[in-house]
Amino acid sequence: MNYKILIIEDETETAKYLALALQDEGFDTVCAENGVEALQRLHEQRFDLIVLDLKLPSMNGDEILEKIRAINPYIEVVVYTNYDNAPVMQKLINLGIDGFLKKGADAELYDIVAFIKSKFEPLEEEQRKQLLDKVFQQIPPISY
Amino acid sequence: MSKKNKIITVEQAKEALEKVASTANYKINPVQLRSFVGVLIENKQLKYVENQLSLFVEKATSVFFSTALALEIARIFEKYSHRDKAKKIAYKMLEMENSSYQKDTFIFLLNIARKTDNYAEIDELLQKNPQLKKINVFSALYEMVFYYAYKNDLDKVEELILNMLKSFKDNQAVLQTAKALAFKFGLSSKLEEFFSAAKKENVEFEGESDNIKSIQSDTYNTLLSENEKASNAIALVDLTNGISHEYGQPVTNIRFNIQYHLKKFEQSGNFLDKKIVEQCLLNVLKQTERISELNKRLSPATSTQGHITEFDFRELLKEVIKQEEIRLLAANIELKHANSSVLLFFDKTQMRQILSNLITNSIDSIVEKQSGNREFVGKIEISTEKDKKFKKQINIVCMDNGIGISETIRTRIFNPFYTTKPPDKGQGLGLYIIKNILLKYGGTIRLDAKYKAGAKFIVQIPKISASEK
Repeated sequence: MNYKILIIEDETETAKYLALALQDEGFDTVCAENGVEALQRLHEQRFDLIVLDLKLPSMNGDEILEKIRAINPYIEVVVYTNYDNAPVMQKLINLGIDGFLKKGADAELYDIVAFIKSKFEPLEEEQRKQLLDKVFQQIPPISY
Repeated sequence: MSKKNKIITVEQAKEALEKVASTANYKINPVQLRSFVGVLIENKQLKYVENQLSLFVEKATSVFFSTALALEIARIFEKYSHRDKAKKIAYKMLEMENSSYQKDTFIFLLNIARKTDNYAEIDELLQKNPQLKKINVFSALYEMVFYYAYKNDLDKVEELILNMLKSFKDNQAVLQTAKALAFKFGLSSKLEEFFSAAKKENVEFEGESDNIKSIQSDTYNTLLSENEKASNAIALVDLTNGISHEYGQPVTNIRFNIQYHLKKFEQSGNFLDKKIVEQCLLNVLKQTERISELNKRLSPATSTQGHITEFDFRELLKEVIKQEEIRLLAANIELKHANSSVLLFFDKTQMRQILSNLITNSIDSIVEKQSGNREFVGKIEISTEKDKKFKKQINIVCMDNGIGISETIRTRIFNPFYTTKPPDKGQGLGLYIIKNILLKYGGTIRLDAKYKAGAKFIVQIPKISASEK
């Protein structure tokens, strides 16, 4: 089964080409133009990753992220924007994001695709070992 | 690469560097040195540069260590990861009494300390030379903020940021940096206090100037207090952020369009379907139209020339309504306006812009309401009245029965690029442009918060008839 990506972006042209390029890499994509639509999609189906624009009509990206985290605290969210505002960034970081991509005059479509792809690449042997060690340390010893 | 670099050959650069290395008092300025080193590095001669400069440092006398050249060499070492050598030169420079480069050297060392996250040597240095703390240039203040943050002395951090704001308040870049620093160290609220204090002084200032007689914009500018200039600078930073975002969107679209089709073109052995080529080209054209539309919309917000004439408001309003007639009809909207003539003394083109922006907003708001109820009959009413408090002022009232403006966004609607409309419908400049036009002529615009049936805007302008002039 393919990984499924939700693209939340009001610029339909931008969303279209990002979706097409991701589809070429074997991802399934769904586009939403605003927060309400995005949340509806999230309730209907399961996604592996969300690409989130920040400047959106009526509900801004940070507000949407708040609602996304209420539904699914673990889903990978990559914020994708050419707008940066310090207090908003602080909020985003606190809510938890897994990547930040800049678009704008120097946006590279295939860099973005590569970044998103990298989010799905399996961990290196060493990383996996470290992660497992960390998990095992947190499990209390079994007592009889 | 600069033009200068192009005409320097590797041989020339080597020759110059050898001279520098062999004679400590060889006359060469840092800029020249930089271009010689540049040429050599471009030609993969890094090792050679390092050797020559090290040689130079070993031989150098105390006279040398008080020059700008020494600092430049330190910078070159730092750039090419010879931090120890860079630091050695810098500390030696600081030991020299009367060095006019103490300030720059100190900033250089602070910068290295920040990069390596190790301020131990800086501590020592400041104990020996406490006067270094008092350097009041921007780069020093900036670096010292990080020093005190490292020492966990937040009071000092705050003091320095405020110091920055006070000393460099006309400099936007500084303001933005200070803003970013304040955020980084969790002092945003302090910064807001600073600016709201600045604003408060403004309000008092405005109160005194109710009777501004002159509506010339240059006079208006001289009336602006220093604090207002500072908060205007912040507004300008927001505006430029908005502009870069708004231009960024169509550019992103064009880039994605081209990058995607270029890849398809390469993958398919240099072939693209005619239809796709046409679609691609049309899309680029459409995006450039969006850019030019933005240009047109921005010019009234930034242009400074005003041309004030006396004209009949009713006639102008009729002209604007005529322009919007098709949309009004299509959306089934009744537009009412008073039928008596009112003479205004104002910039006619700008007034046309104000009316057009207000009506466009009302139409969009009604259309949005109609999307839920197709039978809904839209109403817009535009009238003029004398201001109740200031008899000389005139109010233009525009109200509609559209979706209205919710309380949560009321404070933001006059900000540039704030919009609730989809991207192809509006850039969020309409009300911002109105606000700016009025600011120039001593008028105001506000939203009537008590009006609940839609939105009601009140534009107040100084009514100065020709006879009163």
